[in-house]
Amino acid sequence: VIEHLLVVVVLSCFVYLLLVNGLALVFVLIGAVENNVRKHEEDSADYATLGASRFTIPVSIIVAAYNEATVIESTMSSFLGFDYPEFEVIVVNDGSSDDTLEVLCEAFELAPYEVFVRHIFPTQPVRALYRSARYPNLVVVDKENGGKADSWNAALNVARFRYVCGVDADTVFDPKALLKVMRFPMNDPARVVGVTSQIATAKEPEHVLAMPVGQRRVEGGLLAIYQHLDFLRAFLNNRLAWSKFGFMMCSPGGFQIWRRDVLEEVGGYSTAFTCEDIELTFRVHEKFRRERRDYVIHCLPDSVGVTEGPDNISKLVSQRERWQRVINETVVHYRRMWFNPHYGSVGMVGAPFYLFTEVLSPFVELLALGSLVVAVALGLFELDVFLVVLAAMAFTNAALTAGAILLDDVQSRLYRVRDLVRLLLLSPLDLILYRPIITWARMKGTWGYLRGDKSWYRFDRNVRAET
Amino acid sequence: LKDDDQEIAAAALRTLGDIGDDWSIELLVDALRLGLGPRSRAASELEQLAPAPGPRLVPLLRDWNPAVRFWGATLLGPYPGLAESTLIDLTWDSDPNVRAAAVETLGSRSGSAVGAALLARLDDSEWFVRVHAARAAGHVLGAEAAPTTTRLLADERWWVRTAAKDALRAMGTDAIPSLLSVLGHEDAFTRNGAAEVLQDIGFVDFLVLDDPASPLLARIYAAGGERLRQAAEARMENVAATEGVRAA
Repeated sequence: VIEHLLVVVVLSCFVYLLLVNGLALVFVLIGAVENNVRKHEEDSADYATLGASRFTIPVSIIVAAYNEATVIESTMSSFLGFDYPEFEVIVVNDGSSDDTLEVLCEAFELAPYEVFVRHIFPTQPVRALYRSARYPNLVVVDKENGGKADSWNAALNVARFRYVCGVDADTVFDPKALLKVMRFPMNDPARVVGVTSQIATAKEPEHVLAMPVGQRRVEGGLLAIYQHLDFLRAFLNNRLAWSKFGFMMCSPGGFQIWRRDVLEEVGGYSTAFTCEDIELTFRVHEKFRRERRDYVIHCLPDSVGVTEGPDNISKLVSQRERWQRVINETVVHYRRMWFNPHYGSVGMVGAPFYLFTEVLSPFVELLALGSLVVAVALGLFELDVFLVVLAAMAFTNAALTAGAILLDDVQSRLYRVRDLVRLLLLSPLDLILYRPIITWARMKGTWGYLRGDKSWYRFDRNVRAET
Repeated sequence: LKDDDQEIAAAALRTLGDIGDDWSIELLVDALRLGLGPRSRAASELEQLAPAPGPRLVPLLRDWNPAVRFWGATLLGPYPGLAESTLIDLTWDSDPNVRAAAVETLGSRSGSAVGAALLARLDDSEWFVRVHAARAAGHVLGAEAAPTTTRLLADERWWVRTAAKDALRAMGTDAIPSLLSVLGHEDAFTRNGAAEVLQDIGFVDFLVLDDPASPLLARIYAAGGERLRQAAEARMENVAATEGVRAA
């Protein structure tokens, strides 16, 4: 009986693997076509004209900062350095217990001012507002702690422009980032409600972004490299294809542009979930599809910025565990969309894809691991077969990763050849060196979700070398 | 230009902008008129080619299509003196977007006829026309527009109140008499807005330094609330700490 059960389990896992990898392959192929189209558009984009035009749509950049004293000055300089005709930066100090506010006050010569703003979204009490003597387009809101969603809602209450760009306080950007993504709303403001673009990860984002195009290095140890590959796969293997077919299911919190009226319509960022980015994207889809409205949420392949990635396994597990919890919360919350033709491609592909590849995968992985242990215990385990299957999986995975590296290089030509080769050589080992950590984090996240955990384990900022 | 894909049409517009000769200007104006490609992109290209397209833009003001009249009026911003009377006529256009564009363009001009047209639009039925009118009237008329602009601090629309605050802030000390006159206004938005502008133009800080016991300062605090007072006192603490700055 156990043998038969094992056969069923193994076959189920194998079918699951085939389906997931098959779908991933389809997405890569679609992503490649989409990447090519975007590359041609990028080549014909006229940033000089857009950057000088008064018809370029102004943007409010909103930043939530909680205990970011070590990075806030450099990342703020990145936000204020955007090459864009008109924008404002609204930073919300979310009741930091470190010197975030003091660093901001000193670096940007802030002084307290009373500003009477709209209270469209309820938030934790605002303690004070500050303006900068050096940057007229900088506003700092000091409020009591309420989390990132609450902070972004507080920023929305102050924001003045039609488009809002939510960014993480630990991310630094290419000065052209806003121009690159805002050309889509500018060309089709009635339909484009949201845009995001690829962001990379590094231990020290400022250092990486400062390297010239074509000479950029993939810095750090194996952990940094595998996170980099993970981000590449997420953006280029998945989101380009999702974007193409209208089910771009996650505008990441590191860089997301939304039309302000849409945010007001859907009620702003939700504080009821562990994290706010994926939930908001699902909510916008749910509303617009239910009301049969014409809309677009784009994801672009351009690498527009670099965010800080965890520099040790413990931090990485904390981060990914949180991500898993919010994915579970969101996908289950919007279960009415699963396989519901009323929601079009979102209901038939997007939401089920998340269900199978993100929510259920920890269970499948646990099942596979369990069956392996049982097989060993019963003496049914054939090492040769196992190694062949493992090698096949590793190289399938590596092929998908190579696809992402190729798409990124075609799009941006950012990295040195030797770094690209290093990435390609390391990609088959992803399954052994990196995937077990992520699987563990996802299992922890799923367990946390089942226990109703909504906490935010914020990892400490990486220690930076002097630059 | 006629491609269904907006990105391709946008690339064609960009190429015409790069060429920039008479022929391409004519095509860009046609694209704007006929809606070939995104009109905002055609407008961006035409604007960067200024002053060459100027005379070709004037006929757009009389087009049957309000979207074309809108872009015609908007693009005439950098051409002082061109088609002024037509622009004044357009401040009465049936389409509010056209009225807003005409008002915005007239905001960069001068003269009594322009000023009168702008003051009339401060009472427009559409809120976004009032937004443009508040800013434009401030530019053209300065202190003369302060009393009417101050009245907009009580507007039902937040955007109009914000535009009125921006306009009054830009007037600087010229706006002080009007702002002081509404500190006791029955509408809280008006009181708050007036106190906020007085703070922003430095009048509150001046009073705190010059005469902290001034009844006028007390009135501003009463209108702006406790946090306005706290913010002013916090700023002054910093100033007091740097004696040189205080003297300056």
